Amino acid sequence: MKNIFYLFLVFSITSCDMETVIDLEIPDHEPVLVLNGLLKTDTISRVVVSQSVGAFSNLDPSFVSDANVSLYKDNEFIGLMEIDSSEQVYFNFINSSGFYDSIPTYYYKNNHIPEKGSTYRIKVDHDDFPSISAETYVPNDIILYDIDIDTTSNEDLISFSFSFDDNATIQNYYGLELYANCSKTWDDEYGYLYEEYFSGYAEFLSNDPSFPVGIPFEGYTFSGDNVVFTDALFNGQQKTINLDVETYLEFKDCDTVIITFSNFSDDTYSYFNSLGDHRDKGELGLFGGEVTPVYSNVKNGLGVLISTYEQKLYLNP
Amino acid sequence: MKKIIIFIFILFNSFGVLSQEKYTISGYITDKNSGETIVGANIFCPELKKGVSSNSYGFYSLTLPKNNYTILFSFIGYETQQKDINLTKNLSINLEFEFSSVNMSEVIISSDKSIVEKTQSSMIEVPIEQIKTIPALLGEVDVLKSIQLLPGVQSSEGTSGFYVRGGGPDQNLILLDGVPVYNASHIGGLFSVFNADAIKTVRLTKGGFPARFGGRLSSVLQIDMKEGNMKKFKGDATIGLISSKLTLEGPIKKDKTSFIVAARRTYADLFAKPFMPQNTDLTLYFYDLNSKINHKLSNKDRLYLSVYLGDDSFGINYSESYKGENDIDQENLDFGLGYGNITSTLRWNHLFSNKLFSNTTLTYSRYNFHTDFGVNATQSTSLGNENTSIDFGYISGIEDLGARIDFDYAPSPNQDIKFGTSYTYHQFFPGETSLNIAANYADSTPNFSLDTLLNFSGNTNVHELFFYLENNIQFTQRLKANVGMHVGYYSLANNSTSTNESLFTKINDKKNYSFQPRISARYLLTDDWSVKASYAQMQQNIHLLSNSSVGFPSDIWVPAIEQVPSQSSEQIAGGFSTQFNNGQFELSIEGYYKTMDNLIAYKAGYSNLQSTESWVNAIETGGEGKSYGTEVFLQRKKGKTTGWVGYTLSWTKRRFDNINFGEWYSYKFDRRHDFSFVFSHKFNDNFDVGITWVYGTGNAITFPQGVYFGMPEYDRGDAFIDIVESYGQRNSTRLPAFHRLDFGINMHKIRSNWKRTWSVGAYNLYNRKNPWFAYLSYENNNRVARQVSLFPIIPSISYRIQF
Repeated sequence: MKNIFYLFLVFSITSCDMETVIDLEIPDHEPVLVLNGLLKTDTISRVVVSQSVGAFSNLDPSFVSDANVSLYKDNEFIGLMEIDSSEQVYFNFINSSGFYDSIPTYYYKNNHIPEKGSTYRIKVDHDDFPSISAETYVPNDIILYDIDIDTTSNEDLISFSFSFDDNATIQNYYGLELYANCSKTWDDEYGYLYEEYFSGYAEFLSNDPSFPVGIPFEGYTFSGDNVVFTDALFNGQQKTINLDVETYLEFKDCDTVIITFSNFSDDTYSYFNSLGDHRDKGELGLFGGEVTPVYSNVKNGLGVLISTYEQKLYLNP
Repeated sequence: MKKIIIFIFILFNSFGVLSQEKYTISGYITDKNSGETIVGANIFCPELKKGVSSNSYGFYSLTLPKNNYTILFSFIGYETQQKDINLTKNLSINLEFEFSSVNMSEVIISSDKSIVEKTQSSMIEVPIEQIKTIPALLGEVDVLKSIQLLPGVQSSEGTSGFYVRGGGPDQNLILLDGVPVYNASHIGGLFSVFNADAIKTVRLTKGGFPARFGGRLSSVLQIDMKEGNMKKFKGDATIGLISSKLTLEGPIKKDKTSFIVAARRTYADLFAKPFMPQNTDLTLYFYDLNSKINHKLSNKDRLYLSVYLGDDSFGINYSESYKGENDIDQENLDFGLGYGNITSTLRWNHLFSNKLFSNTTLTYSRYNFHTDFGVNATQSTSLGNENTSIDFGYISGIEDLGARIDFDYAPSPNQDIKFGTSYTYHQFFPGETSLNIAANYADSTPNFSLDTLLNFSGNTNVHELFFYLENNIQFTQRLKANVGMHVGYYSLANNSTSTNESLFTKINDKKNYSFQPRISARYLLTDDWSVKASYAQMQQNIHLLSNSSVGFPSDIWVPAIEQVPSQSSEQIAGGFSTQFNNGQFELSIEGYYKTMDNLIAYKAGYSNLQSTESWVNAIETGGEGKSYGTEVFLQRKKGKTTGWVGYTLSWTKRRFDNINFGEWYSYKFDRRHDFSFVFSHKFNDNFDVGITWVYGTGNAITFPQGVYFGMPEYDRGDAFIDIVESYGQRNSTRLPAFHRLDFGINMHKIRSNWKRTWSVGAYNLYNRKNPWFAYLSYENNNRVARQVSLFPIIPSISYRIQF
C-alpha cells in the first residue's frame, strides 16, 4: 500500500504540466475576401481589400491587389475603385510569429467624395473568392454653435464647449477625437535648451453623462483621446459638450490642436464600440468574460465599410 | 375564472369520499438506534391496497373506513413491521424501525417508494450512504459533486456549480434545511459547503415541480441535516489530506432533545507556510460548522433550530524594507479575498389533528463576498516620513429573512393536500468598489488623497411572497396525479438609498404577480411499469450576474427590476419507469422540453472584477433559452453491488438580441452526450470499493476560427493595421471531450464501541488532461490552441473513526 501511495505521489508531481497543445473541433474557415473602408465627406473614397486565413494557418493575412471593386451611391454605379501603383503604403502589424512587421499595399480609390445623406455600397469580385459587398449610410451634417474656447480662466486647462441640436427622428451616434501637434524649443532661465515635441492623439477630460464612465480622475468621469456616444440621454434636445484639455503639454503653445467632431450611422458606432471592447477586454481568458467579436457588415466576407461626417474645430491656431 | 373553477374541481374532486365513516391512523416513524425520523417510509393497507408515505418530518396519516386491517410499515433496509388493527377510532402509532439483520452484510441504500409508484417525475434521491462511497477529489466526500453525476445535470470540473436541463447555475434552488444557500462552494468551487457527515437526505428535482417549490427555474436541491441522535452519544472524526472534520451528536435529554454539531476546516495554509518566503504571509482556508438542536415539546409539537456557518479566506501579505544611507524604505502589499454563508432555521412542527400536520419555519440566509488589494510604501527621510498608499476594495452580497408555513392535510388515502405560504425579504447589495489613494509628503509638496466609490449600484430590498396549493390525488388504482398552483407576488421595497443619482443605478418600483400551474401524473401500466408526465411553469425573481468564463464567488445576485424582468420557464417532461430483478434495479427513461424567457448575460467582454459599469448597464436582457433531451437512469439500490448508470442526450441553446447578432447559439454547457457510471461494491464488512467514470462532450466555446486585417489606422504619421480574429458563431467551437475515472477503497475495522476506516483513493486515475479552458497561442511560429487542465491524478488518503 505504501508503495502504491508513493507511486501516486510521484506520478502526480511529474504530471503537473497541465497545459497542452490540443486539436479543437473548429468549423472550417475557408479564406474569404476582406473589405475595410472608412468613407469621409472630405476625402475621396478609398478602401483596402485583403484575404483572411484560418486561425491555425502559419500564413498571415495578405492584401489582394487584383480584385474588381465597384462603388455604388444610392444603388447607382459610380465607377470602379482602382489601385494607384504609384502610391504604395506600408502598414505596420504584428505577424503570426508575434513580431512587428511591415507590409506594402495599395488603396483602391475612386475620386468620388462621399456625400452626406447618401448610402454607399461597395462590391468586390475576385475569381478565387466568393463576391462580397457592404454598404453604409453617410449621415447629414450637424450645425455646431456656441463654440467657446477658454484659455484664460485656468492656466492649467483649456476649456472648450460647443452645442448642437440632436435630430429626434433617428438614433444618432457621435464621436470626438483630440489631435495635437507641438514642436517647440526654448532656453530656460539657466540657459539650458529645452525641446518639446508631440504629435498625435491627446487626452481630454469631461463629466458628460453621455460618455462612458471610467475611474474618476481629478474630478472627471471621463478621460481619453476619443469617445463615441449616442443620443440616448438627449434625444431630440439641444446638447452642449464641455471638455477640458490639460496644458501640461503646452497645448496652448502647440502648432495644432484639433477637436474632430463626427456623427455616424449605427454600423459605424457598432464597429467602433466592438473594436474598443475587443481591444480592451476581448482576449480569451479565465476571468475576462466572453470575447467581443469586431463588428462586420460585409456580406459573404469580413471587414467593415463605415462612414462619418466629420467637422474639425481648431483650438489652436 | 372558468379555468380556476375547473382547476379547483380537479384539485378536490374526490372529497365526496369523506362522507363515509372513517378513522385515521397517524404518527411518526423513527430509527430505533438513532431516533432520527425516517422520510418516505411506506404505510400500506393490503386489504384496500391503499397506502401513504411518511413526510419530510417522519409523520404519516392514513385514513380508512371503519374495519379490521393488517397494516404494513416498511422501509427499505429495515425490518418490515405488521400491525393488526381494529379501526374503530382514531389511532396514534409512533413506530421505531430497526435495521434489518438480514441485510447487515449488504449495502442498503435507504429509499422510499419505488420509482414506479412515485407520482413525482424528474426527481432523484441520492442516498447519503451512496454519496459516501463515491470516490472524491482529495478524499473529501462531496454532496454537490455527487449530484453532478446524475443524468440531466452538467458541470464543469473543479466547480461545485451545476447546470440542470440547460438552465444556468443561478436557476437551482439549493435548500439546506429549507433555507436557500446562495453560494454552495468552497475554494472557488473545488468543494461544496455541505459536510456529508451532517447530512441526512439529498433530493434533486429537475422538473414536474410540486407547487410548494418556487423561485427558481431549473431545479430544487433539498439537503436536510441530521437531527441528532436521540438515543446515545456518537462521534465521527476524519483526518484527510487537506481537511479534518469532527461530528458529535447525541441526546441532551434522551428521547426528548438531541443535538448535532459538525465542524470542518482545511489546513492547506499550515502546510504551505514553511514553503513561503520569510516576508510573505499566506492565509488559505475554509471552515464550516453545522449545528442543530431537535426538541420534542410534546407528542404534537417538535422544535428544531439549525445553523450553518461557513467562510473561505485567501490572503497574501508581502512586506519588504530597504535601508539606504539616509533613509529607510518599507513596502507592504496586501491581497485578500473572502466569502461565506450563514444560514439559520427555526422550525416548529405541530399536529393540529391526526390529519393535519403543520410546519412553521423562520429562516435567515446571508452571503457576502469581499476582496481587497492594497499597496503601502513608507519612506523615512531626513525631512520626515513620506507615505503613499493605494487601497482597492470590492464587496457584494445578499441577505434574506423569511417565514413560511406549510400544511399537510390527508383527508383520505386518495388525497394528500399540501398548502401554505412563504414570505422572504431579500436585501441585495450588488456591489461597491472603493478606491482610496493617499500620499503624504515630508517636504512642502501638498498632500494628496482620493477616497471614492465606483460601481456602486445601491442596496435594493425586495418582498417575495407566494401561496401554494397542491393535491396528490389517487384517481384510480393506476392513475395518480399531483395537481397544484403556485401563486407568487414580488415587489421592490425601496429605491437606492443614494443621493448621488449620477453614480447610482436608478431602480424603478415594480410589482409582479404570477400564476404558475403545476401537474405531474403517473399511470401504472403493470406493477413494474409506469408512465409519467409533468408540466410546470416557474418564475424566478432574482438573477445571478455570472462571468461566463468561470463560476466565481464574485458572481453577483441581483433582483428583477423593470429593466431586468423576472425569468420564467415552462417545462414538459414524460417517460417510463420500471423496476426489475425483484426491485433491485430501477430504470427510468425521460424526455423533456424546456423554454426559458427573460434570461440575462453579461455584455460581451464584461467582467465584474474589471469594470466600473453599473450592473444594469453591463448586461444583456430579454434572453431566450430552450433545452431538450432524453435522460436514462439505471440504479441499483440493494445488494453488495450498488450504483447507477446515467446517460443524457441533450441540446441547449440561447438567444439574445445583442449577442451573436441575434441568432440562436449553443449554451456553454450544451453537452450532447453526458455519461456517468457510479459503482460501489462491498466485499465484506471490512472492505468496499467505489469506482466512478464520467464522460461528457466538450464544452461549447467561442474561439478564433480565422484571422484577417482590420481597418487601417494612422497615428503620428505611421500606418498601422491590426490582425483581427474572426470568431464565427458564438460557442461554435468544442473543447475536447471530458472523461475521468476515480477510484476509492475503504478499509474498515469494526469493534463493539468504535469503527475506524482507512480510505485510499485516486481522482483522475488515468491522468486524463481534461480541458478547463483554451486559448490561442504561438508555438514554433505557428498558431496553436492550448488548453489548460485543472487536475492531474490526485491520490488521497483519510482516516475516519466513528464511536
